[in-house]
Formats: sequence, C-alpha cells, structure tokens
Amino acid sequence: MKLNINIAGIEWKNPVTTASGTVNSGKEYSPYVDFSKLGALTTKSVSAKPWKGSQTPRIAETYGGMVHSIGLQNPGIDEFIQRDIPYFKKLDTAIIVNICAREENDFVEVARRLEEASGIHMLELNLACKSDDLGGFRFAQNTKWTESVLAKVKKVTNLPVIAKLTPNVTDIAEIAKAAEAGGACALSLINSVSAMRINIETRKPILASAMGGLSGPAIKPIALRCVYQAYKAVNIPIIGMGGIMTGEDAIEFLMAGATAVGVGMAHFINPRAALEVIEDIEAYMEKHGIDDVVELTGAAH
Amino acid sequence: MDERITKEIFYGEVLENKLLVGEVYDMTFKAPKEVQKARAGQFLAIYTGNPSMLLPRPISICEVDIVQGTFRVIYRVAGHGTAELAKLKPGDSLRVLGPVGTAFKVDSKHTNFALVGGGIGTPPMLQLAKKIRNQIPHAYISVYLGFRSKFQVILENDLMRYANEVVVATDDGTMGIKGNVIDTFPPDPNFDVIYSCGPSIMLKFLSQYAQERDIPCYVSVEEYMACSVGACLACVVKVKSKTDDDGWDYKRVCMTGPVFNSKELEWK
Ligand SMILES: Cc1cc2nc3c(=O)[nH]c(=O)nc-3n(C[C@H](O)[C@H](O)[C@H](O)COP(=O)(O)OP(=O)(O)OC[C@H]3O[C@@H](n4cnc5c(N)ncnc54)[C@H](O)[C@@H]3O)c2cc1C
Ligand SMILES: Cc1cc2nc3c(=O)[nH]c(=O)nc-3n(C[C@H](O)[C@H](O)[C@H](O)COP(=O)(O)O)c2cc1C
Ligand code: FES
Repeated sequence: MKLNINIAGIEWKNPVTTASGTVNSGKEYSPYVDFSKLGALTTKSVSAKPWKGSQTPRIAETYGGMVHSIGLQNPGIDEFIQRDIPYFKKLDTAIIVNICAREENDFVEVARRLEEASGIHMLELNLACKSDDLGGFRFAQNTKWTESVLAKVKKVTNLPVIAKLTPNVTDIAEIAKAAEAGGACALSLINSVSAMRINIETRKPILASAMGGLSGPAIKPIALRCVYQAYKAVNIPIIGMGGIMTGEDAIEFLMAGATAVGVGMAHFINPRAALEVIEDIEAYMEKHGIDDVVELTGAAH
Repeated sequence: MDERITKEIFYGEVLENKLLVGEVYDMTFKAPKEVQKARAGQFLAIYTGNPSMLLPRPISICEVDIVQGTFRVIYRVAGHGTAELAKLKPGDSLRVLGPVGTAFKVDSKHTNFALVGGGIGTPPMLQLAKKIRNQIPHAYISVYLGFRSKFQVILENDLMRYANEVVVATDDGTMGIKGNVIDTFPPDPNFDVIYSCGPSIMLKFLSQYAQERDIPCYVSVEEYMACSVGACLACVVKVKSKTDDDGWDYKRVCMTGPVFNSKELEWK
C-alpha cells in the first residue's frame, strides 16, 4: 500500500500535515505526538519583524468550531530561525514554513531569509493576510495581487512555494488559477472563514478584534466545496484543510480533489488527531483494496 | 508508546460530583497515574463530552490525594460547558488533558504565608495550603477569602485543616468582615509572601498592595484557552519586558502561567 506522495519534488511519507498556526513550530505538542510520523509539518506564520498579535480575548467557541483572531503573533524571522531550525533538524519529516506579511516586499524578504537557512523543504504563503497597500483587503482576494506576490517570491527562492488561499472570495477558482499562474507548486485550501460572535450580556463582540476566522468541523463543507471547485480549475496539487477531525473527513477532501490534507483545530481536541487521520486513511485503503493513496484524489468528480 | 511521548490525554472516573453552594460544584475523580505529577497551581483542561463544544475547559486543581489517586476540582456553572460537567455522575468518565501550567513555588525560607482567594478563585489555595503545611510544618498560614455573600462561601473548613487562620470577607457583610478581602489584612502584616487567585481586579489591587510593601506576590490569572499546551497563542497576557520596544510582551497563560510573579504582569 502506497501512502507517500510527492509535491513539487518533495517527498511526503503520507499525505498528512499540520494546518499552520495550530501547532506553532511543533515543540509544544512534542510530548504528546511524534510529528516525524507526519508527511510534513507546517509551521505557524512567520513575518519579517516580530508581530504582537491581537488583544485578548482572542478566541470564542461556537458549535463545532472556534472563531479566533490571534493576529498572527510571531517572533519574527530572526528569532524563528534561531529558535526553531535546530528543532526541525531533529524531525524526520518535510518542513513547510508558512509566511505572513502586510506587504509584498516582506513576503519576499522572509522567503529570501528562509532560502538561506537550511532544513526547510517548502514555503507556504499565507495569502489570507490583509494589507494596507491593498485597501485592507487580503492578498488572495484579487487575482492580480495573488499572482504578483507569488511571482516575486518565486524569483528569490528555489524552494517550492505553496499558496494558502482564503475562502472569503466570490470565486475561488479564479484565485486558484492566478496562484498557479504566479508559480505556486500547490494550493492550501482553506484558511479560516471570516466570522464573529457577540456576548449578549455585554452587547459587545466577544473577540477583542470583533471579527476573526472560523475554524473546525463547522467549516468542513465550505472547505470541501472550495477544494472541489479549485480542483476543476488548476493542475497543481491541493492540500485540503478545514475541520478535519478524522480519517473520514480527510478522505472526503481527497475525493474532492486534494492530494494531501492539513489537520488544524483538531489538535486542540486530540493532540494525536493527525496520526489517527493517517491510521484511518490506511484502514480505509485496506478495506477498499486501494493500493495508492493518489487513486483517491478527485474521485468524487 | 514511543519513549519521547511523555504525555497523553487521560480519562478520570468520577467518584463524586455534588452541588456545593449556588451554582458551584465539587467534583472528585480518580486518575492514579496523573495525580502523581500534579502540583499546586497547575490546572486541568477538561473536555465537556458534548461534541458541539470541542474545546476543553481550564479548571484549577483544588486538591490532590496521592494515596486515593484522586483529583478534586471545584467549578462554577458559568456557561454551557461547565453545565455539561455538572451533569456527570459517579462512575462516568471524564476526558482530561493535564496537569498543565506552572505551579506555586514555595520557598522553605519563608514562615508567614498569606493565601488570598477571591470567589471561584479560592480552589487552588487549598492544594497550596496543603503543600506549604507539608513542606514547612512550622509555617504560619493565613488565608483570606472574599465572596459576594455568605451563600457563596466555599472551602472555609477545608482550608482550616492546613491554615492557622481563615478570615472571610463578603461584599454584603452577610459573613465575616463587610468589604473586600484586602480590608481583612492585619494593619501591620508580616507576610513573607502572598499567593492569590481570583478576579483580575482583586489581583491588581493585591499586586499594588504587595509592591508597596515589597512583599513577593504570586498570582494565578485566567485567559480564554484553546490548546492548553502553548501552541495556539490564544491565552496570552501582557508581561513587562526589558528587551521589547513597547516595554511589554505577550506570554502564554497556559504555559508560562497561570501562576505569575505579580511584578512581571503589566496590569490593565
Ligand atoms: C487557568 C484557569 C483556571 C481556572 N480554574 C477554574 C476553577 O477552578 N473553577 C472554575 O469554576 N472556573 C475556573 N476557570 C474558569 C473556567 O475555565 C470558565 O468558567 C469555563 O471555561 C467556562 O466554560 P463554560 O463553557 O461553562 O462557559 P462559556 O462562557 O459558555 O464558555 C465558552 C468558552 O469561553 C471560555 N471561557 C469562558 N469563561 C472563561 C474564563 N473565565 N476563563 C477562561 N476561559 C473561559 C470557555 O473555556 C469556552 O471555551 C479557570 C480558568 C483558567 C484560565
Ligand atoms: C488558533 C489558530 C491559529 C491559526 N493560525 C494560522 C496562521 O498563523 N497562518 C495560517 O495560514 N493559518 C492559520 N490558521 C488557519 C489554519 O491553518 C487552517 O487553515 C484553518 O483553521 C482550517 O483548518 P481547521 O478547521 O482544521 O483548523 C489558524 C487556525 C487556528 C484555529
Ligand atoms: S491555550 Fe493555546 S497557547 Fe495557551
């Protein structure tokens, strides 16, 4: 039975990674789960300079999910390289570093720094980031912005670059095409869905930032729909994510068109969630006599 | 299990889950292996068992009994998640991550201890009193508790098992001194150290009080949590920083806390 996949020349031992921002760089969860068993580890977004992130409360629970605005708190690329690269070297898995930025140049700058660093296999651009230069919109809310930032980052790095897209758009297919045109080796779909909660006693939004992103099982059908539409539109592989709790969820994503999947909020409910997803996929393949996991990709089309 | 994997989610067996006062429940559950690792000040991330409420609820360890292998937690029904916990019956099983977080450090050079509990912040003071009594048999432990009224008072008798005195204040004067808990302090206190858990406004005043008198003060703070292990950065609190340009930085309550030296905190 073949579980391994290959994305842009990078070998994953199975089609499962972590969704950015849910396990930081892996260390905090390492007493609970061995990330070397995953196909890849995707890190929390890192920016050119340290970002403090949002005020608190940063999260609000909702049926089957959570609305969050962490505000991309991270120590900046200098400390990231010092603090985390030695840890990555101890892991036997593909390392995907996710980058966030408020302007194009900063995506390029961080990519350049990571190109010089060792022990990193792929980059992922968090194109759900908002930018003042773009009137407060997100990079991946416009085809031109999406293509442009990817093309610029591609110029400074030989690492394969994944474009992580936001579902908060009118037509995900056209953004997916723009990312492909910009040189993305793969798409990560989806980032969280724009959302909010209100405290009816105080009559105020629960989150300090009022609005945030919805993650967890509540968004799975939306994420599946995005993957399904993007699969029809592009030829590059898709990493599907959004509410994956079990292998069954992951297989739905594969069938919608994903080549791999990311496990996010599920870690907070079960730190071993990603490992159990791998075990479940294996069991499904065994039961249905499937030899190669890529046979499942796009099966629902 | 892989030898590098040292922690896992565990299941506790509920032995007792009874209404204490008002909406406050007192639950004891068995988890013989995990109690061995627990330290005063740490907390447990308890899952509700209801699949629509996925995140665990952080609840302080009130007491551990190493011999019986049991945890005791005291929680207020504050919303839907804690209401689920209140439904648990003896024999039911409870899914838990932990113990997590930092503990109250007890310095054996100290003799006079002030433990200050505000409302539902009182529970962790019990295990702390027990720890101090075990570590320093001659310690003088004064406990000061503040509640809204006599109907909310909890753990007064339990604390008497380890403390030399327990002083209660209520907002409405229905029990003990009328006023806030700091009003109950002796005029000329000889505290070597103060420990506290309670509403943030109380912790803030207490921190000021301690700083004015140069008394070390450790407080347990609350913030909304998701992962409880330091990975998601949901639960941050502002901490003073010498290296940061703004003079403060965010630290994770679930990992660097919940117990902080009150001097480190940047009070709102
Ligand atoms: C370190 C720590 C220790 C705590 N110890 C105790 C204890 O010993 N006894 C006790 O009664 N309470 C304690 N609390 C508060 C307790 O966690 C909340 O009252 C509880 O999570 C409320 O959940 P709910 O579903 O009933 O309420 P809801 O308001 O429906 O909860 C919705 C969400 O908000 C979160 N939330 C709501 N209030 C709080 C809060 N005050 N702090 C953190 N998260 C909150 C919940 O965890 C949940 O994710 C502690 C909190 C922390 C951070
Ligand atoms: C607490 C939290 C923090 C997140 N941080 C990031 C981040 O830093 N960068 C990013 O690209 N996505 C971030 N995400 C989005 C996830 O990577 C993922 O796309 C989304 O949550 C959907 O997957 P899930 O439902 O499995 O969590 C975050 C999600 C959560 C819940
Ligand atoms: S709750 Fe996730 S970092 Fe503290």
